Amino acid sequence: MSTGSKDHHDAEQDLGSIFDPRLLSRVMEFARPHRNALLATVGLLVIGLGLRLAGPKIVQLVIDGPVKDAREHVGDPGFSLVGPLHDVTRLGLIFLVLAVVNAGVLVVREWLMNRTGQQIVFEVRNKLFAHLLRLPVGWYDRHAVGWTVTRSTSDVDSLSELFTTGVATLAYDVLTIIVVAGVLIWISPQLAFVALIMLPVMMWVSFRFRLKARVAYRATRASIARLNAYLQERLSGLAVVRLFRREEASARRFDVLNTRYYSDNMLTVKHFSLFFPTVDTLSTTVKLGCLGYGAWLIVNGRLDEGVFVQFWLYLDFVFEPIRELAERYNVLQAAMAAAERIFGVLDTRTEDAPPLAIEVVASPALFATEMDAAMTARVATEPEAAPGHGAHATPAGPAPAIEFRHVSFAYGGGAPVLQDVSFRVAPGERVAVVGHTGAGKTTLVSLLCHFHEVVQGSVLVHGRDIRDIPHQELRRSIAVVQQDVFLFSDTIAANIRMGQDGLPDEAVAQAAVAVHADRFVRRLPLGYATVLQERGGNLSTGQRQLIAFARALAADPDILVLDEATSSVDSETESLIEDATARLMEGRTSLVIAHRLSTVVNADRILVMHKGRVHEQGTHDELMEQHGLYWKLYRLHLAGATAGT
Amino acid sequence: MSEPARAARPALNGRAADQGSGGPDGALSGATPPGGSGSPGATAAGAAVLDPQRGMRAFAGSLKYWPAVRKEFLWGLACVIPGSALDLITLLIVRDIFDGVTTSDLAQRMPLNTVLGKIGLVLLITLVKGAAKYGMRYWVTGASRVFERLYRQDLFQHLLTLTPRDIAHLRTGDIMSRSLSDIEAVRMLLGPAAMYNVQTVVVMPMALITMAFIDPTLTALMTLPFLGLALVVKFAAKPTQRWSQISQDRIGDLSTVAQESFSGIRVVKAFASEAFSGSAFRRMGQAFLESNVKLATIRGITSATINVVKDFGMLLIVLVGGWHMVQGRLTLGNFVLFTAMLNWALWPLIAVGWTLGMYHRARAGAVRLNELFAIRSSVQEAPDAITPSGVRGELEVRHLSFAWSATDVLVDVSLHVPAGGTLGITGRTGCGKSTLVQLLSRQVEPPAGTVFLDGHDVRRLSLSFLRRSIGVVPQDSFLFSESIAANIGYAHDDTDMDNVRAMARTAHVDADIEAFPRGYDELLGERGVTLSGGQRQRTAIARTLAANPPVLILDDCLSAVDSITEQAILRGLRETLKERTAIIVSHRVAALSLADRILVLDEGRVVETGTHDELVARGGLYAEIHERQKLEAEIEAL
Repeated sequence: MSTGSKDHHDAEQDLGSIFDPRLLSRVMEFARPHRNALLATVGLLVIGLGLRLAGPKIVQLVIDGPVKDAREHVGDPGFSLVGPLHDVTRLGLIFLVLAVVNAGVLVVREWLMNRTGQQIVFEVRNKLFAHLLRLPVGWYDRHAVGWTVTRSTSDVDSLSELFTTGVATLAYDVLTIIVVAGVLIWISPQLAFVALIMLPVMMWVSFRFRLKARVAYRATRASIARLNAYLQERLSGLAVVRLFRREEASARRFDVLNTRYYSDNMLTVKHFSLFFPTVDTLSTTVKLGCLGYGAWLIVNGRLDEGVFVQFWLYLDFVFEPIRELAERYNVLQAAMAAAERIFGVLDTRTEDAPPLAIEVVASPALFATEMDAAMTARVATEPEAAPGHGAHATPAGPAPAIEFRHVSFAYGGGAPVLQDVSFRVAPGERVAVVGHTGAGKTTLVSLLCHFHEVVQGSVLVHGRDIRDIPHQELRRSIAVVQQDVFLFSDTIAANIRMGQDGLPDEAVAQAAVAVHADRFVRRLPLGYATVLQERGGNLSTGQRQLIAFARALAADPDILVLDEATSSVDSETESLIEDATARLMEGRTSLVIAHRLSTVVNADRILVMHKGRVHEQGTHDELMEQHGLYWKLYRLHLAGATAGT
Repeated sequence: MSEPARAARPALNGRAADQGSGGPDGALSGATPPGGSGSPGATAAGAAVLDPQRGMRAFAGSLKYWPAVRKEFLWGLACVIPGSALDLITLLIVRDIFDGVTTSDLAQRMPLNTVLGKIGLVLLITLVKGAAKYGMRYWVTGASRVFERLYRQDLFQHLLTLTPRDIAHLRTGDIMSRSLSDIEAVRMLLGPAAMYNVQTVVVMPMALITMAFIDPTLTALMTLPFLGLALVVKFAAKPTQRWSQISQDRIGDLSTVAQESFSGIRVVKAFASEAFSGSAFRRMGQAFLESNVKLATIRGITSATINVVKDFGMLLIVLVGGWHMVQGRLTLGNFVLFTAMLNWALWPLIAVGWTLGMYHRARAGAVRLNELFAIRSSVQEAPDAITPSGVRGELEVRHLSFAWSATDVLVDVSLHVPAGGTLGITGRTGCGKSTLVQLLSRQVEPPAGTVFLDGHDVRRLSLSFLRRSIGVVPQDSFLFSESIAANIGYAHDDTDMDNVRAMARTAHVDADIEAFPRGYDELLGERGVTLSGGQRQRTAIARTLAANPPVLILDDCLSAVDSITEQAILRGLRETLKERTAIIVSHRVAALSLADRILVLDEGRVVETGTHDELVARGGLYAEIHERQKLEAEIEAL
């Protein structure tokens, strides 16, 4: 659930620390290519600050210049106001020029800052995504898709705060406080003393309030998470609530949670209602202190009026950033927590990483089991891999296209799914795998594609252990059609191409024609350019199958692996699929997890799997004569064809 | 997957607004914000959704909460007046001090004692003012929070009157975001938006009148930047909203690509097309980047313009104020007062522009909430519903035909279960079994005169009587993430542990539960143990049994249980079934063996009825299913 994961995400925010230098330097590594732009941003910030400081200075020049002039000489004979008025005008024009320049600087700075920040975030996101795609399939079995999506969207966005508003604004605020404090001291050290003595107090108050507010805010996040979880569950289980007449009891419980959320919010409200008047009172006190002391200095002729006004206007320049400082800190902390989670993913070893290069792995526990299993398996099979030592000594002649040697497998330490499975598929041979649900058929495919590491034994393709074949090379030689066809919400052509950019349109169409997909695709208004809905929702089951066939054919693989769909289609589509299956297997080594009678009967050989083992093998006629498991499955199939449940 | 991004945004906005990330409160603390991120124009953006209900009418539904919050709300708004008045008084006293110490006429120069006295007075005023501002924020925001709580409670209670089918067209995430973000949006309008608008209404005239008394020319000129600012904020609101919508849509697209690639990771990998997926993601990311940069540029220009407007105001003060000071028409104190007024009056004006965006969002939210409230339950209790004193448990269906949107699900189904009898129902997937169960228990409204309990049409019975009389173990054994004991004892307010244990034993889940570290107190779901499908089903059976219903309907609730356990459960149920009327729906022949009679449904019609032996002998659909399951059992046993 979206809100649920968001709150989970909030709870994780405590992890990050701005003061973790290792994390900080890794984050800054992302910014390195853009340092010129970032430096320019900082430069513009400094210029902007200078321009802002110029404003009160001009006010001072007006007051201590023409205004003072006029006042002192107003009675003098021959004195004309025209001079001072012109002086005011001149200063006003300077002010105007500075204001225009300032606006320009601001626009450029905002644009540059955001563009650079977005650019960095874009790069981080791509890097993260590319890394995620190279993680082993087993990693995806352990992580919910929503969690992974959050890493590549929300977390990266949080990180963006660091590069857009975060660092630059924080730097600007700190710089402003320091520079303005310096200017105040330069203008009048005594007056500055009065102003700045309260500064640490204000910072302390500000940080304390923000801290309290943060704790309170977190409490509201926790209570809204509980409220949402409750609501979500009651919605999902609405039928149960109503069947058991628990409407009133549920409403009472909801009221408790809702009221809890309310009171947590009220605590936040209280903090903030108090915070602003308090800071206001403090800054007013400081200003009044300065006013009193300034008045004394002016009366005693030790300070010019204009200088005091200038000083007075500068005071606000200091108070504003102090108010915001603590909030910026919170933003940065959230960004660092996001960065930590992002690095956690980036540090997870990809499936093609060299197995022995031990790096600092962020979450070794997650990966240990799979790698350990792989390493053990490797050690265990090493002697067998040597020619002549295995139970199945490799005979002379071409190596089998696919070979499983004593393969055992279990998912994540669970019950064994495959036990001591051995079989060979000769080049060009068509082998059908049959078996009851849960026999371990689909796992064969996962292992052949090297999605998982075998626990024991080895899988060989053309005589090579697949652990010695780079993943991309292995998978390019094998095309898999999955039972549950997965189509992307992209064009039909892109779904057939699957990233083979060099494949011309004719080849795409050719593949589609061969598997009878062309006919229905051409009937669509946009043909091959038709964009599919999520998971191909705008196609029928049979049509999705045919697209998957075209995809496999377009890949022109050496080995075809087909996991036939069990879902029923109308008889016309059924015969199209049967024919397409035959086309697909033509001249290829094929391993078919078969549900169609025609596929099984036409296969060169049939492997009958049962409870993780190869129970029987042979041709259809041979197996039927045995009156064994295959015979029973065959009868079950016929029974299912009439009374399928 | 666009949901999280969408949901997060308003929540953040809400936080910022509640806590006032901008906006100086005090007259003496009017600083120029550094521009950029904190400017209110930037936060104005929200999801703008086109809505058919125009104007304020969309909020009609929320008026009923007004009496509950009226007092606090009005008190809070009342605090705005003393708060703002004291702001003004503070500014005037400071003006006097400035004038007093800078006057060229030494005789009129303010004595230092007076200066100190005035400063003391201002300090006192500041404290009172702080209290007023505290009251304003606390009461107004508090009232809006009360409003939110009542609104949400009502929504939840309304949802509980509906059936799952009534809200089937809405995704859970959608309802959740209405309960969260949309109510929040309406609350923001009532709370912070109202507060800032009232502040503006109070402050603006005070500021303008005071300034006009001091220097009419300068004041007249100063209205130009004020008007300019209102225009800037107004014009920036639309593109900001548009681009933030685009931006949110694009992050949604990006999430979709990510989600698809992760869900289809096996296909991506099988075709070695990681690079291809990466390029799609890159393309979406580029689009997102462009909209974000666009948005940032609009915000940058807006805040730069706000700055220009402010600077223009300051320029007027320097230039015109300077001339007037030279001419002796404006004192230094009044000059300083004008610079303070610029900030004091400008911020509320910015806030008004910002609340415009809030208004649009709130209205869109209110429209969506009204949609939810407008859904009426498809199962309504008759106004003159009766509650008989007891239940015998005789169920009858007479010529029941039922269709879901023009697709016939049940055609002329009739059945009769005498009190205490047990009926089995079977058939292929999609034969109408589940719909029949839903009609019997009135989870779906049956046509009048078709379903009878003890001779009463179920539509004439009170819902609470009906639910008490008929216990259903649903096909989908949904459990709540509470303790196991609370789940089994769900029907009752207080958990009777003896009953819970007894029923767990009957459902053969007691040994499983006791094997958990915390036994019956073990929590289910994300924070607790995960039950297997079979365990869930058995717990669900225990839950229904614990309610002790006179009529029990088991809707295919043993499908995930292995055959040995199934037999054991069925043996245990035999006892409890003796005392009540029961309907057992199953596609497994073994489960039907407890039934006196079995009814076979096919494509919504009753095709066979009889005892197990009769049906097997007949050689029809039931016999086929029976044969098939025998074969499966043989294969399983190998």
